[in-house]
Amino acid sequence: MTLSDDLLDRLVLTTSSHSFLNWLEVKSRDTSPWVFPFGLSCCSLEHAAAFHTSVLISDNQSSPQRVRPEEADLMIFGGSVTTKLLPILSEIHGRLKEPKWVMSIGACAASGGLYAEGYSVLPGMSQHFPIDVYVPGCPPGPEQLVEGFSIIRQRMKKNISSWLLDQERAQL
Amino acid sequence: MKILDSLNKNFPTLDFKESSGLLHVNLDNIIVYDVVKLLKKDFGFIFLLDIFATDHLNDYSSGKCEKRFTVTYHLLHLEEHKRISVNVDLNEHETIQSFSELWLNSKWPEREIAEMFGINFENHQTSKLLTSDYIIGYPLRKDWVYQAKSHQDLVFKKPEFSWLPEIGDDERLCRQVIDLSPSHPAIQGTFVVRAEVLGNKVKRALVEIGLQHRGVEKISESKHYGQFIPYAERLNFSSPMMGAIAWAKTVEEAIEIEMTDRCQALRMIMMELSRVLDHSTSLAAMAQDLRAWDASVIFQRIRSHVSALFLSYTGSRLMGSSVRIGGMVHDLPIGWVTKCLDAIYLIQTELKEILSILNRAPSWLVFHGEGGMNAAQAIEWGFSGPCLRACGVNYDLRKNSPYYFYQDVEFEVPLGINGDPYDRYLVRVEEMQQSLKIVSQVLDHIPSGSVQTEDPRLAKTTGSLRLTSADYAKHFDLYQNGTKINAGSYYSFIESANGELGFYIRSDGSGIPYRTRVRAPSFFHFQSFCDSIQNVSLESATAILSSLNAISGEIDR
Repeated sequence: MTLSDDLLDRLVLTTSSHSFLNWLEVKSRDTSPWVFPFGLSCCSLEHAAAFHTSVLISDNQSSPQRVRPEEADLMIFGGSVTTKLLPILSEIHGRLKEPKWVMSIGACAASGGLYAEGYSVLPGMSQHFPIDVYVPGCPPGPEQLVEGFSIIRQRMKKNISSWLLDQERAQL
Repeated sequence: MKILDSLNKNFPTLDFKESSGLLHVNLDNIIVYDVVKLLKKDFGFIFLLDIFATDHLNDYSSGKCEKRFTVTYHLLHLEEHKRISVNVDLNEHETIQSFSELWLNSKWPEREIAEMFGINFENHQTSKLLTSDYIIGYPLRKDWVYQAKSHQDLVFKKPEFSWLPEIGDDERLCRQVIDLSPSHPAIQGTFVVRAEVLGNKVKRALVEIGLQHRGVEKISESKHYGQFIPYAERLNFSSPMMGAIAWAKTVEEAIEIEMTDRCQALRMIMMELSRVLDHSTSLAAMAQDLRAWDASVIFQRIRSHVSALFLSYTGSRLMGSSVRIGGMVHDLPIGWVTKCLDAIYLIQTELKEILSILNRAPSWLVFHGEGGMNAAQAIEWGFSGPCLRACGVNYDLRKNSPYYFYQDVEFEVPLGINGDPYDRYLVRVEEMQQSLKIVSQVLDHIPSGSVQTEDPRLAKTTGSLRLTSADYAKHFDLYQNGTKINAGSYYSFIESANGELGFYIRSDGSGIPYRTRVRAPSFFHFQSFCDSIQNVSLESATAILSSLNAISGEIDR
């Protein structure tokens, strides 16, 4: 049997490979985001525990952890950020794939926490780069992490990111 | 007393004293090096526990003391289990001789003193250890006010390898520099490791610490003794209860109160469960680094069993803050003992599974034979805990200077032979089993009674049923001014999961510490890392890094 040209046009969509892959990436981002975990201290332990035990096991399978920030949609960092660490963290944030999503775990990453009164820990990271979701707790348990993860997925589905908003604001 | 007598006989001009289990001596700056050298060579104080400094600004400006700073050396006699504290008074512009020729592990503490107090050591490195150039001045001085550059100027300088003239040009071209971090996905924390490799062998390595320096020692100088407990918990965050108990024990020994029997038993249970938690965390990281995913998941499962116990006792999986000065915050909830026994059974089953998977797995063995360390080296580096015992040194504070009920329970101290990562793994796994043994013994004989002391200095009320104005005054005083400690210096320690975790407190008689020093085991373990990965393969270097269990919260404090 031979296909008529008419039928072929209705069945086959011609596009460039680049735009097809781009479409696929946007469509599949919220169901399987690639994660770059930047564990600093206590909170990263709970993050690892949540990812290894049954609590987040479904997330673990669909969202692989990447070692290179260039491959990751989402950076998860937890723990206190000191002035010595800030240049490294900013550099890694700059290397993330665009558009960027960032999730911060714990009180120290959000506001300096217990150590904000000291001389070394920064009182929060929001003035250095945009953050999408703050997960509260010192350290937060796995349930809070699951909640934070689901919020990030909703934002990914709607293509809302604090980084994108910042870019738009900068253009205006 | 034997050592004290012989010291006094041999040094007739010096005044050795003993108070609260610690020998004290004050030395002059000129003779300190020679005396400490003799203490090491002839009197058996071969273990350098710690070096730290204190700033006596108030006494100095009011004329009570002539010199502003004191540098303190803590040495340990491994056979007699005696500690000596050697104090040297210094002024601002005096220099003191470096001990780096006597002990390898004195380099980092000396650099830290130079950075924090501005005390100069002869021929020491000038670069900062914990803070970056961003902070101006010497933070731990009493008259330091926060002074820093703006955030825009911040750059991170990676450590650079020095030029080695003896390497030929051909070899220099073949050598590569690899950054092993900071984006290392291991879960233990943050530090920068750079390795210069030839083929697969590490030739040289440099580390940069201080990325998690949170300034805990400075923060403690504005907190009551009870308020410091959350900070003590977050030092070694993989076994939080240990730090809190060590801190509480130090303060309780300083104010000389006895804990109730039930509180001591409870603290023993919590400490041993924390040891299981810590070892399983470090082994999970080790398995993850070497791509033994199954084993990693099993260790994480063990961890979750213990976390569930903490959750039901303290209300939090990790940081419960349930230790108080003078006891624990509340008694065990109903049904906790049964849960704990169930968990012990489950953990033992999981451990059996692990041992059958890992002990003879070739992929596990192949990376673990390198980087061995003998006992003399380990003592020179100031190792303690499982890393020291893996080298074959039978030193466990629970046996040698027992506290709480450790002399009444039966347990064994596992020892290794070669001091390589495989031995450390075996020692850790065996220690977990011994800890479970201790927990079940304590649960069998758990004493009844209250978990908080009824000492009037710590009680919130006077004890009568009807609250009087005296009660309110007492309550107000306790919460406003804190528990007071008599002026003096105190040191106490526990065998934490990583080794000897000690707290030094200097009090001026008020409710807040004048100076706190944390003797953190990881700080001394991690110092040896650069030397111990020379001429080993990269995979083995990863194994060594994770087997040291370097916790960044403890290294940088």
